[in-house]
Amino acid sequence: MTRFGKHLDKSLKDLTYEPAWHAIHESNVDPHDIDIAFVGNAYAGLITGQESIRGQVMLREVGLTRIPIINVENACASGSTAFYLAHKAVASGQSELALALGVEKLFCDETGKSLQALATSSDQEIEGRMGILFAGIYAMRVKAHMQQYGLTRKQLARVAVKNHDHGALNPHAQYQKRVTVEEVLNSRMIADPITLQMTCPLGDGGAALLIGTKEMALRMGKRLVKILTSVLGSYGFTQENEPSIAERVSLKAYREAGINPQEVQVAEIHDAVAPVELLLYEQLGFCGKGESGRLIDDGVTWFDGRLPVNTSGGLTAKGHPAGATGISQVAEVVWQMRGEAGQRQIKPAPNIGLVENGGGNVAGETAVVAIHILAA
Amino acid sequence: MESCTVRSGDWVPEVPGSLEGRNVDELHLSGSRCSRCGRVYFPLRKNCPNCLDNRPMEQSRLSDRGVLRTFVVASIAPPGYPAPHAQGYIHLCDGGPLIFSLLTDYEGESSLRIGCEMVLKIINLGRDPAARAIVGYRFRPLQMEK
Repeated sequence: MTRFGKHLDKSLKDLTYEPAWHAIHESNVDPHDIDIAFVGNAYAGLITGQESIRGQVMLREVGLTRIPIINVENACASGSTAFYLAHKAVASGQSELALALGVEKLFCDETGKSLQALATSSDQEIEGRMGILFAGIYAMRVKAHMQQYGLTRKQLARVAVKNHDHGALNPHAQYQKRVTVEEVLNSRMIADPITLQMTCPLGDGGAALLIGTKEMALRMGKRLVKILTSVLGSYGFTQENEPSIAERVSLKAYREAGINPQEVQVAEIHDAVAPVELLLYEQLGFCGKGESGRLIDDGVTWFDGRLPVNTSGGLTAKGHPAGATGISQVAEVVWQMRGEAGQRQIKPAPNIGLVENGGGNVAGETAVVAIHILAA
Repeated sequence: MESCTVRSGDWVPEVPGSLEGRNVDELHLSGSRCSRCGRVYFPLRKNCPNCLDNRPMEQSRLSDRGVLRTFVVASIAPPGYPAPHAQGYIHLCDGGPLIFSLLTDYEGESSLRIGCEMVLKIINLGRDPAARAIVGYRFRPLQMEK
């Protein structure tokens, strides 16, 4: 993957070239063997004007042509959806070696333009027309959870501290500076209880993965990472007494993978604002309802804890170029499993990993959630 | 019939299918109720996503009152909206659904609280090219903190 950040001077093609060729070189495959490509991107049309054949255009400089190239768009879960499709293509026997790419240019000279692009990930006739704000959506969820379970502001801040601690150890992260609980709480209030340092930055980046048959993977000469399952789900007019979309998708993923949440040893999850991680710990079954505060207080989810979460720095510190995020999440889990995570390496290297990536908002909940479970 | 929008006289809703009523002075929120499972949806819709059968939905006038389930007052606003920008989810009374709404007529963030009673406010948003009033819905606290 590229280092995520504000890259006004880099084009979509630039952000595609670097990770694609890095993945090809690292995997020791002959690029002619790549037989299909899924390219995730959410907002290039609105930011750069490139519509309809983004993948084909972005891969032009990479040199991959003639194979089927599918453009994948699912808001902030575009990257994960590209991964999901690549997995299905290989698992079904349609493909032997698939490229899953996620690339985004979200930062431009006008913040309003970027925010307007993000705002299109809601129903433009209903909530979108009324001016639903994404930072507000997450603030509301966290606020309701605090009311119900007594989460404290310090606990919210601790997630941001953790993710910035990890970002400081990750050369690919947009933010590589540690912060304190006080600094997080004293930073500008965006939407109470979410402060500036709890939010993820606007930025650009690209990430690439190769998914293939076991035979293809063996050529790499590295620890094999198997995809146990990849699940995609959508919003469903969820009532207040029903499981949330993330919980619902995770139950399916655990069932298909044949594991339970306690077996997960590393996770990359969608901290759209850092405190949302706490809700996800519960929804993904890492702890019981209302117990996530204790998890962060006890240091369980730092890279040296019992269940490291977002060792990449998460969206908060690594950044969130929407289309690239889903792919970068898988990359982090794979690097951890291979012992290639540098200073943020989990010891011993984990064997079972989970990725959760979400996007958009419809009828009061996240529009799409993808969960993948990997094993080495 | 193509559209779920209830149009009458000289007004159109900001959000299709959200409002019902003869004229601008007496508009209420409009929803759809499934006669099989009883779920109520907002705004109007043609079918029940839970049952997915051919049964027609019952158009149901929704309560003007509700309880604020969660809210936020953001210091930034989406393009075209003034800051601060208040939004929330309101659980409508009388078995109504949880709906998203912008919040208005509150005196400072401290006058809003999870659990506080909210009441519907219909607002005028200008005119469309055919000179019909564009009408939107908002919610405001029933009682202001003294």
